[in-house]
Parts: sequence; structure tokens; C-alpha cells
Amino acid sequence: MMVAHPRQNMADRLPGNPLIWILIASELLVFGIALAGFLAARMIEPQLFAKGAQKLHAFSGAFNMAVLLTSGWAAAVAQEHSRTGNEMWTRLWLGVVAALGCAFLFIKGQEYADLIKQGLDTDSGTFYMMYYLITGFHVAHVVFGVVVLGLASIVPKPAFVEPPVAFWHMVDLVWVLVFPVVYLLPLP
Amino acid sequence: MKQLDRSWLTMMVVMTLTATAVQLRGHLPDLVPDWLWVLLLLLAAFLKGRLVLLDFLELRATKIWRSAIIASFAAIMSLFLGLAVVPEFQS
Repeated sequence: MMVAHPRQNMADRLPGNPLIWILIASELLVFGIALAGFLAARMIEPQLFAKGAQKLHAFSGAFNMAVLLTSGWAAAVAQEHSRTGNEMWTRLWLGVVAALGCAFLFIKGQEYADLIKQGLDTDSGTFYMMYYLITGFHVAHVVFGVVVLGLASIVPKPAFVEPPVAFWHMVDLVWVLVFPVVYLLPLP
Repeated sequence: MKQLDRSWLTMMVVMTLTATAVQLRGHLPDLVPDWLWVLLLLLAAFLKGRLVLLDFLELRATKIWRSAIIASFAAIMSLFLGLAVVPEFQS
């Protein structure tokens, strides 16, 4: 009698490399703690946080959400092409993802520049210190994601494409949490 | 239309509805109580995050992992909800 090995049951396996899931879990934990800290600090100074959030560009944040969600979709499409062995389309879609990542960085850069022009930097109180810390850490992940997606396009095979694509989805997921918590919840 | 496309479309609709609600609230601040507003914002984020996990990170086809990861994500969102609604009752 043949007994199916538990690893053969695809429904019980995590998709992709387990190491990337460890990375995703640890990153979500770090951002989760940072955002919980942000909300805890807001409990102490709700007025200060409300005033701070009013100066942020909520529209830019929402637009960046659309950019990242679309880039996540494009990354999933690139992954599908890599699995069917279509190298040209994989490269093309990875290029779309990287371009959308750069668009995110450009919009974020504009927002930072505007805030700094108004004299609002990391020394402008708890709200701005935490805002720059959380969003800056996320920006660093976006930059890293764009670089690794670029590297993946050199060898567009599933083994090289899937880890950076999963990392990109994690970056996407983090912004889904950062945007409402930092930009919208503190608003009066 | 594939599940991936449907999920992306759903997320874009949720995001647009959220942005519209934020605009409306700017003009009509007493439209909904603060605690309900916080709940709706985090619910919208949970819906988007869940779809990213299920269809972008391909957890939909898994059984145990899908339940475990979505439950962990829901726990994080519940923590955020708890921390976010406290100031609404303090003020």
C-alpha cells in the first residue's frame, strides 16, 4: 500500500522558499511592533498626532497605495510568465514592477521634500520622528526590492524570480498597514 | 478574469472607497462615530492585506498555512484596533 508523504500534499505546503516566509514573518513582526508603538504613542498625545497627520499628504499616500498594489499584481504576472518559461515577458513585467517601485519612491520623495521645506523633520516631535522612522524603513525596503527585482530579471527563471517577488508582496503588505495607521487613523 | 485580477480590482475598489470616505469625513466629521471610523479603516486594510496574502503570496491553495497566517494577520489588526480605539473613548 502506498502512503503519501506529508510533503507531497501541496495543500499543506507553503508556496515558494520557506526562508522567504521566515523573512516575511520577521519583517511583518518588526513593522507590526513599530506600528503598535506608533499607536501607543498616539494614545499619550492624540492632539499632537492629529495635528501632525493633517500635514501629511494623505492623497499621495493613497496614490502610492494604488501604485504598490498594481506593482504587486504586475509582480504576480511576471512570476506566472517565469513559470511558463517566457523570459521576455518575465523581464518586461519585472521592468513594470521596478518602474512602479521608482514611481512610489518619487512620490514619497516629493512628500518628504515638502515636509522638510516646512521645517518638519525628525526633530519636530514624536509624531514626525516615528513617521520618518516607519516610512523611511519602508522606503529602504522598496529600494532593496527594486534592486533585487532588477537582478532577478538577469536570470528570469522561477527559482530567481519567486523570492524577490515574494519580498515585493511583503513590501506591498506593509504599506497596506502603514498607510491607514500613520496617515489616516491619527486624523481628527 | 482570473482570481489574481479579481483580487487586484477588489483592492483598488476598496482603496478608492477608503479615499472617498476620507474626503467625505473631512467635510462631514460627525458622519460616523470615531470608533466606527477606526474600525472601518482597519477593516479595509485587513481586506486588502488578506487578498495580498491569498492571491499575491499564493496562500489560497494551501490549507493549514492559509488559516494560520490569516489568523496571525487578524491578530495584528486586532491589536492595532485595540490601540487605535482607546484614544477615541478617552477624548
